[in-house]
Amino acid sequence: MAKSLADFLEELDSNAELKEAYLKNPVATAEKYGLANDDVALIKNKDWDAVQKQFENLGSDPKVHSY
Amino acid sequence: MLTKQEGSLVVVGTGISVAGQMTLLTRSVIENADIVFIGISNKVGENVVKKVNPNTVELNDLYTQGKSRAVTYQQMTDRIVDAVIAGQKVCAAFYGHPGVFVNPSHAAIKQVRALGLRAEMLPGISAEDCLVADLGIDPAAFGCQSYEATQFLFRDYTLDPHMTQIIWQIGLAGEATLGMLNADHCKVGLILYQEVLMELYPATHEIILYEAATMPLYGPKIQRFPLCELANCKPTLISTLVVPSLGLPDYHTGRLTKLGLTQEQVINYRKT
Repeated sequence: MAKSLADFLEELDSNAELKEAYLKNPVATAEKYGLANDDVALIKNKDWDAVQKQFENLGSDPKVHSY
Repeated sequence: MLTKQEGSLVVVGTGISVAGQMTLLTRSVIENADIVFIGISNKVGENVVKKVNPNTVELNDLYTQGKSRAVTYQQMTDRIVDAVIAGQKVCAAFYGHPGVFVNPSHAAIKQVRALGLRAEMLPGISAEDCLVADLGIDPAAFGCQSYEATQFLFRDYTLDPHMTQIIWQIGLAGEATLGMLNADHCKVGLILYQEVLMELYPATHEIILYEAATMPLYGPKIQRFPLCELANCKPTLISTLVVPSLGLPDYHTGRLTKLGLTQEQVINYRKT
Protein backbone atom coordinates (compact mmCIF):
# COMPACT_ATOMS: atom_id res chain seq x y z
CA MET A 1 0.00 0.00 0.00
CA ALA A 2 1.29 3.43 -0.94
CA LYS A 3 2.42 5.81 1.78
CA SER A 4 0.59 9.09 2.19
CA LEU A 5 1.74 12.44 0.88
CA ALA A 6 1.06 13.95 4.32
CA ASP A 7 3.50 11.51 5.92
CA PHE A 8 6.06 12.29 3.22
CA LEU A 9 5.74 16.02 3.90
CA GLU A 10 6.16 15.51 7.62
CA GLU A 11 9.19 13.28 7.16
CA LEU A 12 10.71 15.58 4.55
CA ASP A 13 10.42 18.47 6.99
CA SER A 14 12.17 16.66 9.81
CA ASN A 15 14.64 14.25 8.22
CA ALA A 16 17.74 15.93 6.81
CA GLU A 17 18.85 12.83 4.92
CA LEU A 18 15.51 12.49 3.13
CA LYS A 19 15.48 16.22 2.40
CA GLU A 20 18.96 16.04 0.87
CA ALA A 21 17.93 13.13 -1.32
CA TYR A 22 14.76 14.99 -2.35
CA LEU A 23 16.70 18.11 -3.30
CA LYS A 24 19.00 15.99 -5.49
CA ASN A 25 16.23 13.99 -7.13
CA PRO A 26 12.66 14.81 -6.09
CA VAL A 27 10.81 12.25 -8.20
CA ALA A 28 13.10 9.30 -7.45
CA THR A 29 12.98 10.12 -3.73
CA ALA A 30 9.18 10.30 -3.76
CA GLU A 31 8.97 6.96 -5.61
CA LYS A 32 11.46 5.29 -3.29
CA TYR A 33 9.51 6.57 -0.25
CA GLY A 34 6.48 4.76 -1.62
CA LEU A 35 4.10 7.53 -2.67
CA ALA A 36 1.19 6.68 -4.96
CA ASN A 37 1.61 7.46 -8.65
CA ASP A 38 -0.77 10.43 -8.47
CA ASP A 39 1.26 11.99 -5.67
CA VAL A 40 4.53 11.35 -7.47
CA ALA A 41 3.00 13.08 -10.51
CA LEU A 42 2.28 16.17 -8.41
CA ILE A 43 5.96 16.36 -7.56
CA LYS A 44 7.07 15.56 -11.11
CA ASN A 45 4.84 18.35 -12.47
CA LYS A 46 5.69 20.70 -9.60
CA ASP A 47 1.98 21.18 -9.11
CA TRP A 48 2.39 22.97 -5.79
CA ASP A 49 -0.98 24.68 -6.06
CA ALA A 50 -2.67 21.28 -6.02
CA VAL A 51 -0.61 20.21 -3.01
CA GLN A 52 -1.46 23.41 -1.16
CA LYS A 53 -5.15 23.06 -1.95
CA GLN A 54 -5.09 19.51 -0.66
CA PHE A 55 -3.71 20.53 2.71
CA GLU A 56 -4.58 24.16 3.33
CA ASN A 57 -7.10 25.20 5.92
CA LEU A 58 -9.29 27.53 3.92
CA GLY A 59 -9.83 30.88 5.53
CA SER A 60 -7.35 30.47 8.34
CA ASP A 61 -5.03 33.12 6.92
CA PRO A 62 -4.04 35.74 7.55
CA LYS A 63 -3.24 36.74 11.09
CA VAL A 64 -4.55 40.29 10.88
CA HIS A 65 -4.25 42.74 13.73
CA SER A 66 -6.65 45.56 14.35
CA TYR A 67 -5.56 48.99 13.27
CA MET B 1 -8.65 13.69 49.27
CA LEU B 2 -8.19 14.83 45.66
CA THR B 3 -7.97 18.56 45.10
CA LYS B 4 -9.17 20.05 41.84
CA GLN B 5 -6.34 20.74 39.41
CA GLU B 6 -5.70 24.44 38.80
CA GLY B 7 -5.93 25.37 35.15
CA SER B 8 -2.94 26.77 33.24
CA LEU B 9 -2.06 27.91 29.75
CA VAL B 10 1.03 27.62 27.57
CA VAL B 11 0.89 29.20 24.13
CA VAL B 12 3.30 27.73 21.59
CA GLY B 13 4.28 28.21 17.95
CA THR B 14 4.69 25.35 15.49
CA GLY B 15 6.71 27.28 12.91
CA ILE B 16 5.94 28.24 9.33
CA SER B 17 6.66 24.84 7.77
CA VAL B 18 4.68 21.70 8.52
CA ALA B 19 6.72 19.89 11.16
CA GLY B 20 10.41 20.64 11.39
CA GLN B 21 10.32 24.07 13.00
CA MET B 22 8.72 22.96 16.25
CA THR B 23 11.07 23.24 19.24
CA LEU B 24 11.67 20.32 21.59
CA LEU B 25 10.03 22.20 24.45
CA THR B 26 6.97 23.07 22.36
CA ARG B 27 6.56 19.41 21.43
CA SER B 28 6.78 18.41 25.07
CA VAL B 29 4.21 21.02 26.13
CA ILE B 30 1.81 19.74 23.46
CA GLU B 31 2.39 16.14 24.54
CA ASN B 32 1.72 16.86 28.21
CA ALA B 33 -1.32 19.12 27.87
CA ASP B 34 -4.81 17.98 28.85
CA ILE B 35 -6.17 19.69 25.75
CA VAL B 36 -4.54 21.42 22.76
CA PHE B 37 -6.25 24.17 20.79
CA ILE B 38 -4.77 24.58 17.32
CA GLY B 39 -4.76 27.45 14.85
CA ILE B 40 -2.54 26.05 12.12
CA SER B 41 -2.72 26.96 8.46
CA ASN B 42 -2.26 23.50 6.96
CA LYS B 43 -3.58 20.03 7.64
CA VAL B 44 -0.18 18.37 7.72
CA GLY B 45 0.87 20.63 10.58
CA GLU B 46 -2.41 19.91 12.34
CA ASN B 47 -1.87 16.18 12.00
CA VAL B 48 1.63 16.47 13.43
CA VAL B 49 0.16 18.07 16.57
CA LYS B 50 -2.69 15.54 16.71
CA LYS B 51 -0.18 12.67 16.60
CA VAL B 52 1.67 14.16 19.57
CA ASN B 53 -1.57 14.76 21.49
CA PRO B 54 -4.84 13.37 20.10
CA ASN B 55 -6.96 15.58 22.35
CA THR B 56 -6.92 18.61 20.08
CA VAL B 57 -9.61 21.14 19.24
CA GLU B 58 -9.35 23.22 16.07
CA LEU B 59 -9.87 26.95 16.14
CA ASN B 60 -10.02 27.49 12.37
CA ASP B 61 -13.70 26.54 12.22
CA LEU B 62 -14.43 29.97 13.69
CA TYR B 63 -13.24 31.77 10.53
CA THR B 64 -16.03 32.71 8.14
CA GLN B 65 -15.88 34.86 5.02
CA GLY B 66 -17.45 38.20 5.82
CA LYS B 67 -17.27 37.79 9.60
CA SER B 68 -14.94 40.29 11.24
CA ARG B 69 -11.80 38.61 12.45
CA ALA B 70 -12.10 40.72 15.60
CA VAL B 71 -15.15 38.58 16.47
CA THR B 72 -13.35 35.38 15.47
CA TYR B 73 -10.39 36.20 17.68
CA GLN B 74 -12.64 36.89 20.66
CA GLN B 75 -14.33 33.52 20.17
CA MET B 76 -10.94 31.78 19.97
CA THR B 77 -9.84 33.51 23.15
CA ASP B 78 -13.03 32.48 24.94
CA ARG B 79 -12.55 28.81 23.98
CA ILE B 80 -9.02 28.77 25.31
CA VAL B 81 -9.75 30.66 28.52
CA ASP B 82 -12.88 28.62 29.30
CA ALA B 83 -10.81 25.43 29.25
CA VAL B 84 -8.30 26.94 31.67
CA ILE B 85 -11.12 28.05 33.98
CA ALA B 86 -12.42 24.47 33.87
CA GLY B 87 -9.16 23.39 35.47
CA GLN B 88 -7.40 21.96 32.44
CA LYS B 89 -3.72 22.13 31.54
CA VAL B 90 -4.20 23.93 28.23
CA CYS B 91 -1.86 24.35 25.28
CA ALA B 92 -2.75 26.73 22.46
CA ALA B 93 -0.66 26.07 19.35
CA PHE B 94 -0.51 28.55 16.50
CA TYR B 95 1.59 28.32 13.35
CA GLY B 96 4.61 30.56 13.09
CA HIS B 97 5.47 32.45 16.27
CA PRO B 98 2.42 32.49 18.55
CA GLY B 99 3.01 36.09 19.54
CA VAL B 100 3.53 37.54 16.06
CA PHE B 101 0.38 38.54 14.18
CA VAL B 102 -1.72 36.47 16.53
CA ASN B 103 -4.35 38.23 18.57
CA PRO B 104 -5.99 35.42 20.64
CA SER B 105 -2.66 34.22 22.05
CA HIS B 106 -1.89 37.52 23.77
CA ALA B 107 -5.52 38.06 24.76
CA ALA B 108 -5.84 34.61 26.33
CA ILE B 109 -2.62 34.98 28.32
CA LYS B 110 -3.76 38.36 29.62
CA GLN B 111 -7.15 37.00 30.69
CA VAL B 112 -5.73 33.87 32.34
CA ARG B 113 -3.18 35.90 34.31
CA ALA B 114 -5.94 38.30 35.37
CA LEU B 115 -7.67 35.27 36.90
CA GLY B 116 -4.55 34.60 38.95
CA LEU B 117 -3.67 31.49 36.96
CA ARG B 118 -0.40 30.58 35.23
CA ALA B 119 0.02 31.50 31.58
CA GLU B 120 3.12 31.77 29.43
CA MET B 121 4.18 31.93 25.80
CA LEU B 122 7.02 30.01 24.18
CA PRO B 123 8.70 31.50 21.09
CA GLY B 124 8.35 29.90 17.68
CA ILE B 125 9.86 30.37 14.24
CA SER B 126 8.07 33.24 12.51
CA ALA B 127 7.86 34.29 8.88
CA GLU B 128 10.34 37.03 9.74
CA ASP B 129 12.87 34.42 10.87
CA CYS B 130 12.42 32.60 7.55
CA LEU B 131 12.77 35.89 5.66
CA VAL B 132 16.09 36.71 7.33
CA ALA B 133 17.41 33.26 6.43
CA ASP B 134 16.05 33.13 2.87
CA LEU B 135 16.89 36.67 1.76
CA GLY B 136 20.14 36.96 3.68
CA ILE B 137 18.98 40.22 5.22
CA ASP B 138 20.33 40.99 8.67
CA PRO B 139 17.82 43.35 10.32
CA ALA B 140 20.66 44.80 12.38
CA ALA B 141 22.78 45.80 9.37
CA PHE B 142 20.83 48.93 8.48
CA GLY B 143 18.11 48.82 11.11
CA CYS B 144 14.67 47.66 10.20
CA GLN B 145 11.12 48.96 10.14
CA SER B 146 8.59 46.16 10.24
CA TYR B 147 4.86 46.81 10.06
CA GLU B 148 1.50 45.63 8.80
CA ALA B 149 0.67 47.03 5.37
CA THR B 150 -2.75 48.48 6.11
CA GLN B 151 -1.83 49.86 9.51
CA PHE B 152 0.97 51.87 7.90
CA LEU B 153 -1.38 53.34 5.30
CA PHE B 154 -4.01 54.27 7.88
CA ARG B 155 -1.68 55.86 10.43
CA ASP B 156 0.73 58.78 10.22
CA TYR B 157 3.99 56.85 10.46
CA THR B 158 7.38 58.08 9.33
CA LEU B 159 9.31 55.83 7.00
CA ASP B 160 13.12 55.87 7.13
CA PRO B 161 14.56 54.73 3.76
CA HIS B 162 17.93 54.04 5.39
CA MET B 163 16.33 51.13 7.19
CA THR B 164 15.13 47.88 5.62
CA GLN B 165 11.35 48.00 5.27
CA ILE B 166 9.46 44.77 5.97
CA ILE B 167 5.80 45.25 5.10
CA TRP B 168 3.57 42.38 6.20
CA GLN B 169 0.32 41.32 4.57
CA ILE B 170 0.85 43.46 1.50
CA GLY B 171 -1.90 41.38 -0.14
CA LEU B 172 -4.39 43.06 2.19
CA ALA B 173 -3.01 46.61 1.80
CA GLY B 174 -5.84 49.06 2.40
CA GLU B 175 -8.34 46.37 3.49
CA ALA B 176 -10.30 47.87 6.37
CA THR B 177 -13.15 45.47 7.08
CA LEU B 178 -11.11 42.63 8.64
CA GLY B 179 -13.53 40.37 6.79
CA MET B 180 -11.48 39.62 3.67
CA LEU B 181 -9.99 36.17 3.22
CA ASN B 182 -8.29 36.66 -0.14
CA ALA B 183 -5.78 39.05 -1.73
CA ASP B 184 -7.95 40.19 -4.63
CA HIS B 185 -8.67 43.69 -3.37
CA CYS B 186 -5.25 45.23 -2.79
CA LYS B 187 -4.74 47.04 -6.12
CA VAL B 188 -5.56 50.51 -4.76
CA GLY B 189 -3.39 49.85 -1.70
CA LEU B 190 -0.48 48.81 -3.92
CA ILE B 191 -0.82 51.96 -6.04
CA LEU B 192 -0.78 54.04 -2.86
CA TYR B 193 2.28 52.19 -1.56
CA GLN B 194 4.10 52.79 -4.84
CA GLU B 195 3.36 56.52 -4.53
CA VAL B 196 4.51 56.68 -0.90
CA LEU B 197 7.70 54.73 -1.52
CA MET B 198 8.62 56.67 -4.66
CA GLU B 199 8.74 59.84 -2.58
CA LEU B 200 11.78 58.33 -0.84
CA TYR B 201 13.30 55.78 -3.24
CA PRO B 202 14.24 55.89 -6.92
CA ALA B 203 11.75 54.24 -9.28
CA THR B 204 14.40 51.66 -10.19
CA HIS B 205 15.06 50.64 -6.56
CA GLU B 206 14.82 46.86 -6.40
CA ILE B 207 12.15 45.57 -4.05
CA ILE B 208 11.24 42.01 -3.11
CA LEU B 209 7.95 40.16 -2.83
CA TYR B 210 8.57 37.26 -0.48
CA GLU B 211 6.74 34.17 0.72
CA ALA B 212 8.27 31.73 3.16
CA ALA B 213 8.07 28.06 2.19
CA THR B 214 5.11 26.52 3.96
CA MET B 215 5.77 23.03 2.54
CA PRO B 216 9.11 21.23 2.32
CA LEU B 217 8.48 20.28 -1.31
CA TYR B 218 9.55 23.69 -2.56
CA GLY B 219 11.57 26.69 -1.50
CA PRO B 220 10.48 30.23 -0.70
CA LYS B 221 8.94 32.43 -3.39
CA ILE B 222 11.20 35.40 -4.04
CA GLN B 223 10.30 37.92 -6.75
CA ARG B 224 12.56 40.92 -7.31
CA PHE B 225 11.41 43.87 -9.39
CA PRO B 226 11.80 47.66 -9.56
CA LEU B 227 9.67 49.83 -7.29
CA CYS B 228 7.90 51.36 -10.29
CA GLU B 229 6.28 47.94 -10.95
CA LEU B 230 4.87 47.49 -7.45
CA ALA B 231 1.31 48.41 -8.40
CA ASN B 232 1.23 45.53 -10.90
CA CYS B 233 2.52 42.74 -8.67
CA LYS B 234 0.22 39.93 -7.51
CA PRO B 235 0.71 39.25 -3.81
CA THR B 236 -1.02 36.46 -1.93
CA LEU B 237 -2.27 36.52 1.64
CA ILE B 238 1.12 35.38 2.90
CA SER B 239 3.24 37.74 0.79
CA THR B 240 5.58 40.18 2.46
CA LEU B 241 7.05 43.21 0.72
CA VAL B 242 10.69 43.96 1.45
CA VAL B 243 12.25 47.28 0.52
CA PRO B 244 16.03 47.13 0.96
CA SER B 245 17.83 50.02 2.60
CA LEU B 246 19.30 52.92 0.65
CA GLY B 247 22.36 52.49 2.87
CA LEU B 248 23.48 53.87 6.21
CA PRO B 249 22.70 57.52 6.95
CA ASP B 250 25.41 60.07 7.76
CA TYR B 251 26.96 60.08 11.22
CA HIS B 252 25.24 62.31 13.80
CA THR B 253 28.17 64.45 14.86
CA GLY B 254 26.27 66.13 17.71
CA ARG B 255 25.61 62.83 19.46
CA LEU B 256 29.12 61.59 18.77
CA THR B 257 30.52 64.74 20.41
CA LYS B 258 28.37 64.20 23.50
CA LEU B 259 29.76 60.67 23.68
CA GLY B 260 33.31 62.04 23.41
CA LEU B 261 33.82 60.48 19.99
CA THR B 262 34.65 61.54 16.47
CA GLN B 263 33.53 59.95 13.22
CA GLU B 264 37.10 58.89 12.47
CA GLN B 265 37.43 57.13 15.82
CA VAL B 266 34.23 55.16 15.25
CA ILE B 267 35.35 54.12 11.78
CA ASN B 268 38.71 52.99 13.16
CA TYR B 269 37.09 51.00 15.98
CA ARG B 270 34.93 49.19 13.45
CA LYS B 271 37.99 48.26 11.36
CA THR B 272 39.75 46.51 14.23
